[in-house]
Amino acid sequence: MKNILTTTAAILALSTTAMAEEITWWVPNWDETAARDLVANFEAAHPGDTVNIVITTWDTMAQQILVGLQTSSAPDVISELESRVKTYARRGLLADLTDEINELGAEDFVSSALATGEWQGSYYSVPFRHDGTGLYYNKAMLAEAGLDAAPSTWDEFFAACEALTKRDGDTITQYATAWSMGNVDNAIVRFLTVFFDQGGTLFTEDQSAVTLDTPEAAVALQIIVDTFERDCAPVSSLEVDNTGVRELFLNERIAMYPSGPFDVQPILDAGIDLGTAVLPGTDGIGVTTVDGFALMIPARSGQQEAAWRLVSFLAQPENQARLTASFPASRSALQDPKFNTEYMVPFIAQVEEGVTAPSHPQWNQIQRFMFDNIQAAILGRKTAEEAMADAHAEINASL
Amino acid sequence: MTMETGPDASGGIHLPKRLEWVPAVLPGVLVAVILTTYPSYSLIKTSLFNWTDDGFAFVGLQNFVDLMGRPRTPLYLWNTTIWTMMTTLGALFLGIVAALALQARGVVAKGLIRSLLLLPWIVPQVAAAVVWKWFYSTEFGMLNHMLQSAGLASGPINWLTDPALALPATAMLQIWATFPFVMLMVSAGLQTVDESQLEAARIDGASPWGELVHVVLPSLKGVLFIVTLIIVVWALNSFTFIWLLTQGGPAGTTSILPIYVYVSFRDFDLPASAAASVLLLAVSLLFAAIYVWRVAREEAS
Repeated sequence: MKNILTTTAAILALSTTAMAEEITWWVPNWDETAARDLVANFEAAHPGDTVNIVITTWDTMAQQILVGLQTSSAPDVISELESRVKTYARRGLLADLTDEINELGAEDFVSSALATGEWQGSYYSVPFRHDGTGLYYNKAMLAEAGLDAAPSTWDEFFAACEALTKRDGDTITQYATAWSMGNVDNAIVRFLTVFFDQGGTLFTEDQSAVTLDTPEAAVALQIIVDTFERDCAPVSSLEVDNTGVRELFLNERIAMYPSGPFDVQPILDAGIDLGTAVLPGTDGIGVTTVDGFALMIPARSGQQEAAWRLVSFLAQPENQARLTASFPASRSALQDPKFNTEYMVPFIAQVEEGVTAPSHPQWNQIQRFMFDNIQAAILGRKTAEEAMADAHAEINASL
Repeated sequence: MTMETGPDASGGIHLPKRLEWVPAVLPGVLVAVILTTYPSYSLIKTSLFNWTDDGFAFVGLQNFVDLMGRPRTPLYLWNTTIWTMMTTLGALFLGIVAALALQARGVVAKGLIRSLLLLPWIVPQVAAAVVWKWFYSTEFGMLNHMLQSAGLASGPINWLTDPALALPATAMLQIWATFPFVMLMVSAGLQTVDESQLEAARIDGASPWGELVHVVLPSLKGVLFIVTLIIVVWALNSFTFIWLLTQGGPAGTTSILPIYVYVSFRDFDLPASAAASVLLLAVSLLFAAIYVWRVAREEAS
């Protein structure tokens, strides 16, 4: 009897060992703490599975993932920007997760989040973080300027600009706002929020061309240019990214700025009298681009079943709520009290007005042309109409 | 007939005398092949292929034709040329001045000063770029603060956002980072200047400027030639400083060819990226070939 038990135990141990696998997960550095906590929980719930976390950084992750997906060094799970997923899916670099996501409950995901990983009717990623842009403002600075609420339309925005801009002789000591126009990715997101608010559409239906030679594009850029021409925003906006704009806000050089929900805590930590609101639009609430992060399983991963065990664990509402640095991508996770504070509520309202961030195989080159022309218009080298027409022509010539 | 190759008494491979150098050289050659030759081969191959209806197929020089036909290529090439000229001339000027100043009589703590001047060359590029970005910052920058405090500027200057200033301002960082190399090489070269020629020049009544132009600089010709080639190649391959300071802006005024390589690579457009890289490689190799030829000629003489 003892021998039978020993043999059975040995067989069980061997079978457990055979099931056990080491999963490699590429995680961006800002998610590291939460990821390690969740991995500890996962490993406790899945004896035998071990997860090896490899840290990526914002500046290098795109290249690292691009190379990793195409080589035998592909990990098993990757946290990646939602808007880049389709680029990989198009090339057949990702595992098709359609059946698994349907089994998990596709209907619980915010639809615009799930759509970021959909390519030709199949799902290639599981979103866990999804957010858009809102408006941050310094309550004390607005009160000092005689304003009791954040502007909700562009007309109110420009009226507020005049009240918020302070001068000392010829020198402007306080601007109403700033734009992150010194970073390609950040600048295009800022432009697109205004462009979509004007009713613009970036691509033709088959994505073979952009449609920037439209009145919507010119008007959108003119709104941004006006903020510079009317001294609402400093030209130094052209040298800063999102973090740089936040620094200007923290140093009380600007009174309001658009950004994602991830800025709330750093601003509160700095002791700023913070208020948040939805973006101003032409007739009320503006439009935001929505983006976030999702989990992908590379097609070259040799352990896709084990990888899915980890992904499905991380996709659980409570785990999404823990992992996300802003909002989760599932409706049930959004019910978590930490997303329903006074600062976060405007962002939730804003996401409902969200348009999925564009995706195109040549997106970086498209952004490049837009970026250069937007900067040219801000610098007064071109009119808004000329800049958009040039961007339209240059992009379509290279597509 | 005597066997030239075979196991020796200890069981090891016995090589003929004329091939005894092979084991010593082989590891180095292998490393060079793996790290240099294969990537270069792969790069050149990719530049001749592209996605077609038949898959990733040979397209000859079409990627290069496409590259030249792209709307921004002339701007990239022009900026690359200006960038290379500014950074090379700037680094040469500063490096030579620094080396000569350190050579002058009466300068104390030369070793310490030389070590301090070498720091820019040693500092990691990313760290240097971050510091310089803050140095140039319109809102918080030390440079604007100093200029305004000294009454040299009435308001903040947009160093990185004024299209006329952005490329020179960015080039200053490259000059700052590369001039110590020039200084080091020129300092070494100055040790070889013939004292008797300097003496003769002085006896003939040459001014210090005359000594510099007619004796010192001609003696440094070989060193300066090689140094110039090296910093030209560095300039052609620059990416980090520009990307971190301006990302190629404002309005494309600091966009050079390596920026295009990077942007194309991020789009998976490997053929376009490879074609631009091969173009850069070809120009760099041209300078490298001149360098090798020059070194070989000097060694021969």
